[in-house]
Amino acid sequence: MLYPRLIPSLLVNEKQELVKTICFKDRNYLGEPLNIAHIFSAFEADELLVLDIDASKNKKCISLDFVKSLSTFTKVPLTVGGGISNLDQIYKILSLGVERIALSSALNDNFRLLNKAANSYGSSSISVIVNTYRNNIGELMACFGRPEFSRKFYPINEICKKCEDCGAGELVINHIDNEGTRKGFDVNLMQELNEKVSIPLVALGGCGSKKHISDLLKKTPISGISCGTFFVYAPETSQVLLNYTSTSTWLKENFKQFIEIYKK
Amino acid sequence: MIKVAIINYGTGNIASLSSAINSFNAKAYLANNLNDIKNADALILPGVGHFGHALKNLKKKCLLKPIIEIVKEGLPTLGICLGFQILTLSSEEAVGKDGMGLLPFRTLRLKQDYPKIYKIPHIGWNLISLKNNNSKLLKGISEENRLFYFCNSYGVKATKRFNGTFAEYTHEEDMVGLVEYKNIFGVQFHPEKSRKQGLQLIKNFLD
Repeated sequence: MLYPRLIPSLLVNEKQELVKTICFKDRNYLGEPLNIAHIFSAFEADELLVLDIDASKNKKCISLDFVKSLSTFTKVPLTVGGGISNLDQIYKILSLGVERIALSSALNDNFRLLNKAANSYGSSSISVIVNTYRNNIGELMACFGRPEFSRKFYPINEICKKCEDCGAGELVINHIDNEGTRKGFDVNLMQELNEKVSIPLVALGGCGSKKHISDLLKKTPISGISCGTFFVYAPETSQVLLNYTSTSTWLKENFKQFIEIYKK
Repeated sequence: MIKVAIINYGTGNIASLSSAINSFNAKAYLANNLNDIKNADALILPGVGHFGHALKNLKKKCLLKPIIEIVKEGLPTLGICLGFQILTLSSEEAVGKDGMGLLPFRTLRLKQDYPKIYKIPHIGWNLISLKNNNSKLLKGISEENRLFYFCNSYGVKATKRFNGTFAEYTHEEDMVGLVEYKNIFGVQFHPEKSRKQGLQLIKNFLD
């Protein structure tokens, strides 16, 4: 059986600095992204998720030179995203040694890109990032890219199903309200979505402790758990302290107990 | 120094693979034509892409038949992920198209009777278990370390009559994760992204 993947999520800004945000705001500078990616590679991270969070806004694709260095300095499976908007970019990024590319903003204007990309490079090379948050009246909204730049909003179930039907090989569900808050994952939402789609789901946003991971895994057999804050800061502070191995060892030791729950 | 030809069929993630090979006493290069292949001491068919497209590209480059001949003559060959699948007889990814037929298996869409638990694509780290004892590729890799990184929607199913060396992974059902058959080696996972054990496997192939 597959182990759930623990995926450090690394956010890069337009100056190619590694930053960490809270609810997509309040950027905190963490350091040099290649340096930090290299450390997570040495920790033998299951995968890395690396996103250029300014690329779409600037109508650019994540820098190919940066991706090339990233692939050279790491030995772990990579998912890379940020402003990717055509097949040529996807081909170039995949051939640099990246396992999957992540699409989001570009799907606002060109949803057909997803289907084309999946047909050309296989679903297993294509992830989609779905951003979600609750609006003023508490409704759960979903969109591609940042909500402030998005004109289209969807019911989350509907958009996840649509991405699956159009060839997405994985969905990263990024909960903006929880991002950087350490209040835990939205376990009910992840359970509901996981029962509706048959492709792997990655939960992103809100993790602050092992308990949050175990709360999620007890509820549903999620394929990937992605964390920024939890893996880059010392507990309860915003002091940089990269960590990973204690959590991955703990998960390997305790995973069997979760499988028993799923069997029931 | 061993010369390793990585066959180029258009859609390949080969950067990590080349650097893994070059870290041993070997030199990897991208093979685009027959001469490139004839000069090689070993052949690698890489992963990523579509079964039908990969074979079509090989045909277009007039490489399909020559590769089959050269492999049959005994050139050590390793197929990775899709490269492993195209060594088989056929695939449900491209119905009606023949594979290379160098391995007596068929490639099937992974079974999914329980989609809440077993997702497709099969993405992540899975253990393989060896079905007989004589593996060259797994030499020096302990049983609990046979954990490799997979990324596939299609898989290879063992036939009952096959008596070569193979190892299986489980994702709803048992599928072939690794096979060794004369000079032909195939792995469903990505050894170049599978930590020390993956590099050890590549080293074992080159030895």
